[in-house]
Amino acid sequence: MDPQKARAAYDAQGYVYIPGALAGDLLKQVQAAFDRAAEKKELQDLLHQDDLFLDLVDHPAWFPVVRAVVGDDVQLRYIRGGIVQPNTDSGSGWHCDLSGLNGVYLPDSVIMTKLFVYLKDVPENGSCLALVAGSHRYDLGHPLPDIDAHEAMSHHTKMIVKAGDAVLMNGYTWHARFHNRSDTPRQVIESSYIHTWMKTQYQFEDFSPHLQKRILACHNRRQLFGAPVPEATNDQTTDWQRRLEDCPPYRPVEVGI
Amino acid sequence: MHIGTLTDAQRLDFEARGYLVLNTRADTLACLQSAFDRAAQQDRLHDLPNQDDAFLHLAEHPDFFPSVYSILSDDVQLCSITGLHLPPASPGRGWHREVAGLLGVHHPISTLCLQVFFHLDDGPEDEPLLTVVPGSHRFKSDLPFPAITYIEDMPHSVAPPTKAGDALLVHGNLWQARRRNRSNTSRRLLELTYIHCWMRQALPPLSAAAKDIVLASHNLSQLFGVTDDVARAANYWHLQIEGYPPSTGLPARRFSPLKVVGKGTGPNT
Repeated sequence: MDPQKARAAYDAQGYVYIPGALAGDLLKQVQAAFDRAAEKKELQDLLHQDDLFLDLVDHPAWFPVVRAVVGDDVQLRYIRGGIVQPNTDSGSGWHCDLSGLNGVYLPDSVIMTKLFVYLKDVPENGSCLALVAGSHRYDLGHPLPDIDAHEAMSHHTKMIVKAGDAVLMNGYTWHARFHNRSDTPRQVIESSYIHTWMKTQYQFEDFSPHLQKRILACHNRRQLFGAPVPEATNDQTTDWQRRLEDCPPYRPVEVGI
Repeated sequence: MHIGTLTDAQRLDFEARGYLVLNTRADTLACLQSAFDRAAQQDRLHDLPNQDDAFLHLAEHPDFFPSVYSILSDDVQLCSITGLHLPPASPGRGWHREVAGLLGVHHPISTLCLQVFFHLDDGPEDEPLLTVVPGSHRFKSDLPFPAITYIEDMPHSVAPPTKAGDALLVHGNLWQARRRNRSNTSRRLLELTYIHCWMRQALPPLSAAAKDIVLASHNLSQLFGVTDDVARAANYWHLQIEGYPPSTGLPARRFSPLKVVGKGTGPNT
Protein backbone atom coordinates (compact mmCIF):
# COMPACT_ATOMS: atom_id res chain seq x y z
CA MET A 1 0.00 0.00 0.00
CA ASP A 2 1.37 3.39 -0.95
CA PRO A 3 2.17 5.17 2.35
CA GLN A 4 1.05 8.60 1.15
CA LYS A 5 -2.28 7.31 -0.14
CA ALA A 6 -2.73 5.42 3.12
CA ARG A 7 -1.96 8.61 5.01
CA ALA A 8 -4.58 10.47 2.99
CA ALA A 9 -7.17 7.82 3.82
CA TYR A 10 -6.18 7.90 7.48
CA ASP A 11 -6.38 11.70 7.60
CA ALA A 12 -9.87 11.64 6.12
CA GLN A 13 -11.36 8.69 7.99
CA GLY A 14 -9.32 8.27 11.15
CA TYR A 15 -8.29 4.77 10.11
CA VAL A 16 -6.89 2.85 7.19
CA TYR A 17 -7.54 -0.77 6.17
CA ILE A 18 -4.58 -2.82 4.92
CA PRO A 19 -5.90 -6.04 3.34
CA GLY A 20 -3.57 -9.04 3.19
CA ALA A 21 -0.83 -7.44 5.24
CA LEU A 22 0.33 -10.87 6.36
CA ALA A 23 0.02 -13.84 4.02
CA GLY A 24 1.42 -17.24 3.13
CA ASP A 25 4.05 -18.91 5.27
CA LEU A 26 4.66 -15.88 7.43
CA LEU A 27 1.00 -15.70 8.41
CA LYS A 28 1.07 -19.39 9.32
CA GLN A 29 4.23 -18.95 11.38
CA VAL A 30 2.77 -15.99 13.25
CA GLN A 31 -0.47 -17.88 13.89
CA ALA A 32 1.49 -20.82 15.30
CA ALA A 33 3.67 -18.58 17.49
CA PHE A 34 0.55 -16.79 18.70
CA ASP A 35 -1.09 -20.10 19.63
CA ARG A 36 2.00 -21.14 21.60
CA ALA A 37 2.00 -17.80 23.46
CA ALA A 38 -1.71 -18.18 24.18
CA GLU A 39 -1.16 -21.68 25.51
CA LYS A 40 1.42 -20.29 27.93
CA LYS A 41 -0.90 -17.38 28.80
CA GLU A 42 1.81 -14.95 27.68
CA LEU A 43 -0.07 -12.91 25.11
CA GLN A 44 0.70 -9.71 27.03
CA ASP A 45 4.41 -10.44 26.63
CA LEU A 46 4.63 -11.43 22.97
CA LEU A 47 8.11 -10.01 22.48
CA HIS A 48 9.66 -12.60 24.76
CA GLN A 49 7.76 -15.51 23.21
CA ASP A 50 9.16 -15.63 19.67
CA ASP A 51 11.56 -13.61 17.54
CA LEU A 52 8.81 -13.27 14.95
CA PHE A 53 6.95 -10.76 17.09
CA LEU A 54 9.85 -8.33 17.22
CA ASP A 55 9.96 -8.49 13.43
CA LEU A 56 6.33 -7.40 13.32
CA VAL A 57 6.95 -3.98 14.90
CA ASP A 58 8.63 -2.69 11.73
CA HIS A 59 7.16 -5.08 9.18
CA PRO A 60 7.25 -3.63 5.65
CA ALA A 61 3.54 -4.34 5.08
CA TRP A 62 2.53 -1.60 7.52
CA PHE A 63 5.52 0.20 9.00
CA PRO A 64 5.89 2.66 6.08
CA VAL A 65 2.23 3.53 6.63
CA VAL A 66 2.75 3.90 10.38
CA ARG A 67 5.70 6.17 9.67
CA ALA A 68 3.73 8.26 7.18
CA VAL A 69 0.96 8.71 9.74
CA VAL A 70 2.87 9.19 12.99
CA GLY A 71 6.04 10.81 11.66
CA ASP A 72 9.78 10.25 11.72
CA ASP A 73 9.80 10.31 15.52
CA VAL A 74 7.63 7.18 15.78
CA GLN A 75 8.02 4.91 18.78
CA LEU A 76 6.28 1.74 19.95
CA ARG A 77 4.16 1.96 23.07
CA TYR A 78 3.41 -1.76 23.24
CA ILE A 79 2.67 -4.88 21.23
CA ARG A 80 0.47 -7.61 22.66
CA GLY A 81 -1.96 -10.33 21.69
CA GLY A 82 -5.60 -10.70 22.53
CA ILE A 83 -8.29 -13.34 22.13
CA VAL A 84 -12.05 -12.78 22.34
CA GLN A 85 -13.82 -16.05 22.94
CA PRO A 86 -16.74 -17.04 20.67
CA ASN A 87 -20.34 -16.46 21.67
CA THR A 88 -19.56 -14.00 24.46
CA ASP A 89 -20.91 -10.58 25.41
CA SER A 90 -17.41 -9.26 25.22
CA GLY A 91 -17.91 -5.99 23.38
CA SER A 92 -16.16 -2.86 24.58
CA GLY A 93 -18.79 -0.20 23.96
CA TRP A 94 -18.16 2.91 21.89
CA HIS A 95 -15.35 5.06 23.20
CA CYS A 96 -12.33 7.12 22.30
CA ASP A 97 -9.02 6.05 23.80
CA LEU A 98 -7.66 9.56 24.24
CA SER A 99 -10.79 11.29 25.51
CA GLY A 100 -9.29 12.04 28.94
CA LEU A 101 -5.95 13.35 27.71
CA ASN A 102 -5.08 16.92 28.69
CA GLY A 103 -2.83 19.37 26.90
CA VAL A 104 -3.28 18.37 23.26
CA TYR A 105 -5.76 19.62 20.67
CA LEU A 106 -6.61 16.14 19.47
CA PRO A 107 -8.71 16.86 16.35
CA ASP A 108 -5.61 18.19 14.59
CA SER A 109 -2.98 16.00 16.24
CA VAL A 110 -1.84 12.39 15.90
CA ILE A 111 -0.74 11.35 19.37
CA MET A 112 -1.35 7.62 19.36
CA THR A 113 -2.16 5.16 16.60
CA LYS A 114 -3.21 1.56 17.06
CA LEU A 115 -2.49 -1.28 14.68
CA PHE A 116 -4.65 -4.40 14.71
CA VAL A 117 -3.32 -7.42 12.82
CA TYR A 118 -5.93 -10.18 12.56
CA LEU A 119 -4.87 -13.81 12.72
CA LYS A 120 -8.31 -15.30 12.12
CA ASP A 121 -11.23 -14.19 9.97
CA VAL A 122 -13.72 -11.95 11.79
CA PRO A 123 -17.17 -12.63 10.31
CA GLU A 124 -20.06 -10.19 10.22
CA ASN A 125 -21.43 -11.50 13.54
CA GLY A 126 -17.97 -11.73 15.06
CA SER A 127 -16.09 -9.48 17.43
CA CYS A 128 -15.68 -6.78 14.79
CA LEU A 129 -13.81 -3.56 15.28
CA ALA A 130 -16.19 -0.77 14.30
CA LEU A 131 -15.37 2.88 13.77
CA VAL A 132 -17.08 6.17 13.04
CA ALA A 133 -15.22 7.50 10.03
CA GLY A 134 -14.14 11.11 10.49
CA SER A 135 -14.80 11.18 14.25
CA HIS A 136 -11.10 11.86 14.87
CA ARG A 137 -11.89 15.40 13.69
CA TYR A 138 -14.72 15.97 16.16
CA ASP A 139 -14.09 18.86 18.52
CA LEU A 140 -12.89 18.09 22.03
CA GLY A 141 -15.84 17.14 24.18
CA HIS A 142 -18.11 16.20 21.28
CA PRO A 143 -20.71 14.14 23.17
CA LEU A 144 -21.05 10.42 22.61
CA PRO A 145 -24.73 9.65 21.93
CA ASP A 146 -26.59 7.90 24.73
CA ILE A 147 -27.21 4.59 22.94
CA ASP A 148 -27.75 1.11 24.33
CA ALA A 149 -26.35 -1.17 21.66
CA HIS A 150 -23.28 -1.09 19.46
CA GLU A 151 -25.24 -1.11 16.22
CA ALA A 152 -27.23 1.98 17.27
CA MET A 153 -24.25 4.24 16.55
CA SER A 154 -24.91 6.33 13.45
CA HIS A 155 -22.60 6.15 10.45
CA HIS A 156 -20.38 3.42 11.81
CA THR A 157 -18.30 1.07 9.70
CA LYS A 158 -17.81 -2.52 10.77
CA MET A 159 -14.48 -4.12 9.85
CA ILE A 160 -15.24 -7.61 8.51
CA VAL A 161 -11.75 -8.88 7.94
CA LYS A 162 -9.77 -11.91 6.84
CA ALA A 163 -6.82 -13.49 8.61
CA GLY A 164 -3.75 -11.43 7.72
CA ASP A 165 -5.61 -8.14 7.30
CA ALA A 166 -4.60 -5.10 9.35
CA VAL A 167 -6.28 -1.89 10.46
CA LEU A 168 -4.45 1.23 11.58
CA MET A 169 -6.59 3.53 13.72
CA ASN A 170 -6.14 6.98 15.26
CA GLY A 171 -6.49 6.77 19.06
CA TYR A 172 -8.93 9.68 18.94
CA THR A 173 -11.35 7.93 16.56
CA TRP A 174 -14.62 6.73 18.06
CA HIS A 175 -14.55 2.95 17.97
CA ALA A 176 -15.99 -0.17 19.57
CA ARG A 177 -15.43 -3.89 19.63
CA PHE A 178 -18.72 -5.68 19.03
CA HIS A 179 -19.87 -8.69 21.03
CA ASN A 180 -18.67 -11.97 19.57
CA ARG A 181 -21.80 -13.80 18.35
CA SER A 182 -19.84 -16.06 16.07
CA ASP A 183 -18.33 -19.48 16.67
CA THR A 184 -14.85 -18.16 15.94
CA PRO A 185 -12.49 -16.65 18.49
CA ARG A 186 -11.09 -13.26 17.56
CA GLN A 187 -7.30 -13.42 17.55
CA VAL A 188 -5.49 -10.17 17.09
CA ILE A 189 -2.07 -8.64 17.61
CA GLU A 190 -2.47 -5.08 18.81
CA SER A 191 0.34 -2.53 18.69
CA SER A 192 0.29 1.07 19.80
CA TYR A 193 2.56 3.62 18.14
CA ILE A 194 3.35 7.00 19.66
CA HIS A 195 6.18 9.58 19.48
CA THR A 196 9.68 9.37 20.93
CA TRP A 197 8.93 12.28 23.26
CA MET A 198 6.25 10.18 24.95
CA LYS A 199 6.63 7.39 27.51
CA THR A 200 6.18 3.78 26.48
CA GLN A 201 5.02 0.83 28.53
CA TYR A 202 8.47 -0.72 28.25
CA GLN A 203 11.68 -0.20 30.16
CA PHE A 204 14.48 -1.26 27.85
CA GLU A 205 16.44 -2.82 30.73
CA ASP A 206 13.53 -5.19 31.43
CA PHE A 207 14.00 -6.95 28.08
CA SER A 208 15.96 -10.21 27.91
CA PRO A 209 19.61 -9.93 26.78
CA HIS A 210 18.65 -11.67 23.52
CA LEU A 211 15.90 -9.14 22.82
CA GLN A 212 18.09 -6.20 23.81
CA LYS A 213 20.78 -7.40 21.41
CA ARG A 214 18.34 -7.63 18.52
CA ILE A 215 16.91 -4.20 19.26
CA LEU A 216 20.29 -2.54 19.62
CA ALA A 217 21.44 -3.89 16.27
CA CYS A 218 19.31 -1.45 14.30
CA HIS A 219 18.81 2.33 14.51
CA ASN A 220 15.06 2.22 13.90
CA ARG A 221 14.47 -0.47 16.49
CA ARG A 222 16.53 1.44 19.03
CA GLN A 223 14.22 4.37 18.44
CA LEU A 224 11.05 2.26 18.44
CA PHE A 225 11.93 0.85 21.86
CA GLY A 226 13.47 3.99 23.35
CA ALA A 227 16.80 2.18 23.69
CA PRO A 228 19.84 4.26 24.60
CA VAL A 229 21.82 5.80 21.76
CA PRO A 230 25.19 3.97 21.55
CA GLU A 231 27.87 6.02 23.29
CA ALA A 232 30.37 5.32 20.51
CA THR A 233 28.32 7.39 18.07
CA ASN A 234 28.80 10.47 20.26
CA ASP A 235 25.24 11.35 19.33
CA GLN A 236 23.79 14.03 21.63
CA THR A 237 20.24 13.57 20.37
CA THR A 238 17.67 13.72 23.15
CA ASP A 239 14.47 11.68 23.38
CA TRP A 240 12.64 14.75 22.07
CA GLN A 241 14.77 14.83 18.92
CA ARG A 242 15.09 11.23 17.74
CA ARG A 243 14.35 10.50 14.09
CA LEU A 244 14.30 7.36 11.95
CA GLU A 245 17.30 6.66 9.76
CA ASP A 246 17.36 7.89 6.16
CA CYS A 247 15.70 11.16 7.15
CA PRO A 248 17.60 14.30 8.07
CA PRO A 249 18.57 14.44 11.77
CA TYR A 250 16.64 17.02 13.75
CA ARG A 251 18.47 20.30 14.05
CA PRO A 252 16.91 22.89 16.35
CA VAL A 253 16.33 26.23 14.62
CA GLU A 254 17.70 29.27 16.45
CA VAL A 255 17.69 32.73 14.91
CA GLY A 256 19.70 35.77 15.99
CA ILE A 257 22.80 36.33 18.09
CA MET B 1 -14.23 23.06 33.18
CA HIS B 2 -11.54 23.57 35.81
CA ILE B 3 -8.65 25.97 35.70
CA GLY B 4 -7.08 25.47 39.10
CA THR B 5 -5.94 28.51 41.01
CA LEU B 6 -5.19 31.12 38.32
CA THR B 7 -7.11 34.35 38.69
CA ASP B 8 -9.24 35.40 35.73
CA ALA B 9 -6.78 38.19 34.94
CA GLN B 10 -3.81 35.82 34.99
CA ARG B 11 -5.63 33.29 32.82
CA LEU B 12 -6.50 35.96 30.26
CA ASP B 13 -2.95 37.29 30.33
CA PHE B 14 -1.46 33.88 29.78
CA GLU B 15 -3.94 32.88 27.09
CA ALA B 16 -3.33 36.12 25.20
CA ARG B 17 0.41 36.54 25.60
CA GLY B 18 1.77 33.07 26.34
CA TYR B 19 3.75 34.15 29.38
CA LEU B 20 3.24 35.33 32.93
CA VAL B 21 5.53 36.99 35.49
CA LEU B 22 4.94 35.98 39.11
CA ASN B 23 6.59 37.48 42.16
CA THR B 24 7.60 35.00 44.84
CA ARG B 25 8.17 35.45 48.56
CA ALA B 26 11.66 36.37 49.61
CA ASP B 27 12.18 33.73 52.29
CA THR B 28 13.43 30.95 49.96
CA LEU B 29 15.56 33.18 47.75
CA ALA B 30 18.72 33.34 49.89
CA CYS B 31 18.68 29.58 50.36
CA LEU B 32 18.35 28.98 46.60
CA GLN B 33 21.09 31.50 45.82
CA SER B 34 23.61 29.82 48.10
CA ALA B 35 22.60 26.31 46.94
CA PHE B 36 23.03 27.50 43.33
CA ASP B 37 26.50 28.87 44.07
CA ARG B 38 27.60 25.61 45.67
CA ALA B 39 26.34 23.63 42.68
CA ALA B 40 28.00 26.04 40.24
CA GLN B 41 31.29 25.80 42.10
CA GLN B 42 31.25 22.03 41.63
CA ASP B 43 30.11 22.32 38.02
CA ARG B 44 26.85 20.50 38.83
CA LEU B 45 24.25 22.93 37.49
CA HIS B 46 22.94 20.09 35.30
CA ASP B 47 22.41 17.88 38.37
CA LEU B 48 20.53 20.21 40.69
CA PRO B 49 18.07 17.65 42.17
CA ASN B 50 21.03 15.82 43.72
CA GLN B 51 22.82 18.94 44.94
CA ASP B 52 20.43 20.39 47.48
CA ASP B 53 16.96 19.61 48.87
CA ALA B 54 15.96 23.17 48.04
CA PHE B 55 15.89 22.27 44.35
CA LEU B 56 13.56 19.35 44.99
CA HIS B 57 11.10 21.48 46.90
CA LEU B 58 11.40 24.27 44.34
CA ALA B 59 9.42 22.08 41.92
CA GLU B 60 6.33 22.67 44.07
CA HIS B 61 7.07 26.26 45.05
CA PRO B 62 3.88 27.67 46.55
CA ASP B 63 4.16 30.94 44.63
CA PHE B 64 4.37 29.56 41.12
CA PHE B 65 3.46 25.88 41.15
CA PRO B 66 -0.30 26.52 41.56
CA SER B 67 -0.16 28.51 38.32
CA VAL B 68 1.93 25.85 36.58
CA TYR B 69 -0.45 23.01 37.30
CA SER B 70 -3.43 25.24 36.49
CA ILE B 71 -1.98 25.80 33.02
CA LEU B 72 -0.77 22.23 32.37
CA SER B 73 -3.42 20.29 34.37
CA ASP B 74 -3.36 17.79 37.23
CA ASP B 75 -1.14 15.42 35.24
CA VAL B 76 1.82 17.82 35.47
CA GLN B 77 5.33 16.43 35.76
CA LEU B 78 8.82 17.90 35.76
CA CYS B 79 10.86 17.33 32.61
CA SER B 80 14.07 19.00 33.75
CA ILE B 81 15.61 21.50 36.13
CA THR B 82 18.90 23.16 35.32
CA GLY B 83 20.90 26.21 36.37
CA LEU B 84 22.28 28.92 34.12
CA HIS B 85 25.21 31.00 35.28
CA LEU B 86 25.73 33.94 32.95
CA PRO B 87 28.79 36.12 33.60
CA PRO B 88 28.99 39.53 31.93
CA ALA B 89 29.19 39.26 28.11
CA SER B 90 27.78 35.71 28.11
CA PRO B 91 26.29 35.00 24.70
CA GLY B 92 22.56 34.75 24.30
CA ARG B 93 20.43 32.03 22.76
CA GLY B 94 18.67 32.71 19.48
CA TRP B 95 14.94 32.75 18.82
CA HIS B 96 13.39 29.32 19.13
CA ARG B 97 10.32 27.38 20.21
CA GLU B 98 10.90 24.86 22.97
CA VAL B 99 8.44 22.33 21.50
CA ALA B 100 9.61 22.72 17.89
CA GLY B 101 10.97 19.16 17.70
CA LEU B 102 7.82 17.50 19.00
CA LEU B 103 5.97 16.07 16.01
CA GLY B 104 2.32 15.06 15.85
CA VAL B 105 0.80 17.92 17.84
CA HIS B 106 -1.12 20.97 16.70
CA HIS B 107 0.85 23.28 18.96
CA PRO B 108 -1.03 26.59 18.51
CA ILE B 109 -3.93 25.34 20.60
CA SER B 110 -2.15 22.75 22.68
CA THR B 111 -0.08 23.18 25.84
CA LEU B 112 2.55 20.47 26.02
CA CYS B 113 5.17 22.22 28.03
CA LEU B 114 5.65 25.19 30.33
CA GLN B 115 9.01 26.63 31.30
CA VAL B 116 9.63 28.52 34.53
CA PHE B 117 12.63 30.84 34.57
CA PHE B 118 13.32 31.58 38.21
CA HIS B 119 15.52 34.65 38.58
CA LEU B 120 18.10 34.64 41.35
CA ASP B 121 19.50 38.12 40.67
CA ASP B 122 18.28 41.62 40.11
CA GLY B 123 19.48 42.85 36.76
CA PRO B 124 19.62 46.37 35.39
CA GLU B 125 16.05 47.42 34.56
CA ASP B 126 16.95 48.10 30.94
CA GLU B 127 18.74 44.78 30.44
CA PRO B 128 16.30 41.89 30.98
CA LEU B 129 17.79 38.66 29.69
CA LEU B 130 14.74 36.85 28.39
CA THR B 131 12.70 38.10 25.52
CA VAL B 132 9.52 36.80 23.89
CA VAL B 133 7.02 37.61 21.15
CA PRO B 134 3.70 37.97 22.98
CA GLY B 135 0.95 35.85 21.44
CA SER B 136 3.33 33.82 19.27
CA HIS B 137 2.34 30.59 21.04
CA ARG B 138 -0.69 30.71 18.73
CA PHE B 139 1.42 30.95 15.58
CA LYS B 140 1.36 27.96 13.24
CA SER B 141 4.33 25.67 13.66
CA ASP B 142 5.54 26.15 10.09
CA LEU B 143 5.66 29.95 10.31
CA PRO B 144 9.36 30.74 9.81
CA PHE B 145 11.32 33.15 11.97
CA PRO B 146 12.19 36.38 10.16
CA ALA B 147 15.73 36.58 8.85
CA ILE B 148 17.27 38.77 11.54
CA THR B 149 20.87 39.09 12.66
CA TYR B 150 20.45 40.24 16.23
CA ILE B 151 18.06 38.88 18.83
CA GLU B 152 16.91 42.44 19.59
CA ASP B 153 15.76 42.89 15.98
CA MET B 154 12.76 40.59 16.34
CA PRO B 155 9.60 42.57 15.52
CA HIS B 156 7.06 42.91 18.34
CA SER B 157 9.35 41.29 20.89
CA VAL B 158 9.28 42.36 24.53
CA ALA B 159 11.66 41.65 27.38
CA PRO B 160 9.56 41.35 30.54
CA PRO B 161 11.30 43.15 33.41
CA THR B 162 12.20 40.83 36.25
CA LYS B 163 14.02 40.97 39.55
CA ALA B 164 15.46 38.45 41.97
CA GLY B 165 12.74 36.04 43.09
CA ASP B 166 10.56 36.53 40.02
CA ALA B 167 9.35 33.54 38.05
CA LEU B 168 8.72 33.97 34.33
CA LEU B 169 6.32 31.30 33.04
CA VAL B 170 6.65 30.67 29.30
CA HIS B 171 4.39 28.56 27.05
CA GLY B 172 6.49 25.93 25.25
CA ASN B 173 5.33 27.12 21.83
CA LEU B 174 6.13 30.80 22.46
CA TRP B 175 8.86 32.42 20.37
CA GLN B 176 11.58 33.09 22.92
CA ALA B 177 15.24 34.03 23.12
CA ARG B 178 17.86 34.94 25.72
CA ARG B 179 19.83 38.10 25.12
CA ARG B 180 23.54 38.55 25.65
CA ASN B 181 24.34 39.61 29.21
CA ARG B 182 25.32 43.22 28.56
CA SER B 183 25.37 44.16 32.23
CA ASN B 184 28.53 44.11 34.30
CA THR B 185 27.19 41.61 36.81
CA SER B 186 26.69 37.87 36.62
CA ARG B 187 23.13 36.60 36.30
CA ARG B 188 21.85 33.35 37.72
CA LEU B 189 18.71 31.61 36.44
CA LEU B 190 16.96 28.37 37.31
CA GLU B 191 15.06 26.82 34.42
CA LEU B 192 12.33 24.32 35.27
CA THR B 193 10.49 22.66 32.40
CA TYR B 194 7.12 21.14 33.21
CA ILE B 195 5.31 18.67 30.95
CA HIS B 196 2.51 16.08 31.18
CA CYS B 197 3.07 12.81 33.01
CA TRP B 198 2.82 10.78 29.79
CA MET B 199 5.80 12.58 28.26
CA ARG B 200 9.43 11.58 28.62
CA GLN B 201 11.44 13.31 31.32
CA ALA B 202 15.08 14.37 31.13
CA LEU B 203 16.06 14.45 34.80
CA PRO B 204 19.31 13.01 36.14
CA PRO B 205 18.95 9.75 38.11
CA LEU B 206 18.11 10.70 41.69
CA SER B 207 20.43 9.80 44.56
CA ALA B 208 19.00 7.62 47.35
CA ALA B 209 18.75 10.66 49.62
CA ALA B 210 16.92 12.71 47.00
CA LYS B 211 14.61 9.80 46.25
CA ASP B 212 13.69 9.48 49.93
CA ILE B 213 12.67 13.12 50.07
CA VAL B 214 10.66 12.84 46.87
CA LEU B 215 8.91 9.63 47.90
CA ALA B 216 7.72 11.23 51.13
CA SER B 217 5.43 13.50 49.11
CA HIS B 218 2.78 12.40 46.63
CA ASN B 219 3.20 15.53 44.56
CA LEU B 220 7.00 15.44 44.45
CA SER B 221 6.82 11.73 43.53
CA GLN B 222 4.61 12.61 40.60
CA LEU B 223 6.68 15.63 39.59
CA PHE B 224 9.96 13.69 39.59
CA GLY B 225 8.39 10.54 38.15
CA VAL B 226 9.44 8.38 41.08
CA THR B 227 7.15 5.79 42.60
CA ASP B 228 7.45 2.56 44.54
CA ASP B 229 4.04 1.48 43.36
CA VAL B 230 4.58 -0.51 40.17
CA ALA B 231 0.87 -0.70 39.33
CA ARG B 232 0.62 3.07 39.51
CA ALA B 233 3.76 3.52 37.43
CA ALA B 234 2.28 1.45 34.60
CA ASN B 235 -0.79 3.64 34.50
CA TYR B 236 1.12 6.74 33.56
CA TRP B 237 -1.54 8.36 31.37
CA HIS B 238 -3.59 9.83 34.21
CA LEU B 239 -1.63 10.84 37.29
CA GLN B 240 -3.10 13.49 39.52
CA ILE B 241 -1.62 16.15 41.77
CA GLU B 242 -3.19 16.30 45.25
CA GLY B 243 -4.13 19.17 47.51
CA TYR B 244 -5.15 21.68 44.85
CA PRO B 245 -8.44 22.37 43.10
CA PRO B 246 -8.76 20.19 39.98
CA SER B 247 -7.39 21.53 36.71
CA THR B 248 -7.72 20.24 33.16
CA GLY B 249 -5.32 22.89 31.92
CA LEU B 250 -5.38 25.66 29.34
CA PRO B 251 -6.81 26.23 26.83
CA ALA B 252 -9.99 25.23 28.67
CA ARG B 253 -11.61 22.26 27.01
CA ARG B 254 -14.81 20.23 27.17
CA PHE B 255 -15.21 16.51 27.77
CA SER B 256 -17.97 14.20 26.57
CA PRO B 257 -20.37 13.61 29.47
CA LEU B 258 -20.49 9.91 28.54
CA LYS B 259 -17.25 7.95 28.29
CA VAL B 260 -18.47 4.59 26.97
CA VAL B 261 -21.82 3.86 25.28
CA GLY B 262 -23.56 0.99 23.55
CA LYS B 263 -22.43 -1.94 25.66
CA GLY B 264 -25.95 -3.36 25.73
CA THR B 265 -25.96 -7.09 25.33
CA GLY B 266 -28.78 -7.49 22.84
CA PRO B 267 -28.05 -9.35 19.61
CA ASN B 268 -25.82 -7.31 17.37
CA THR B 269 -26.43 -8.95 14.02
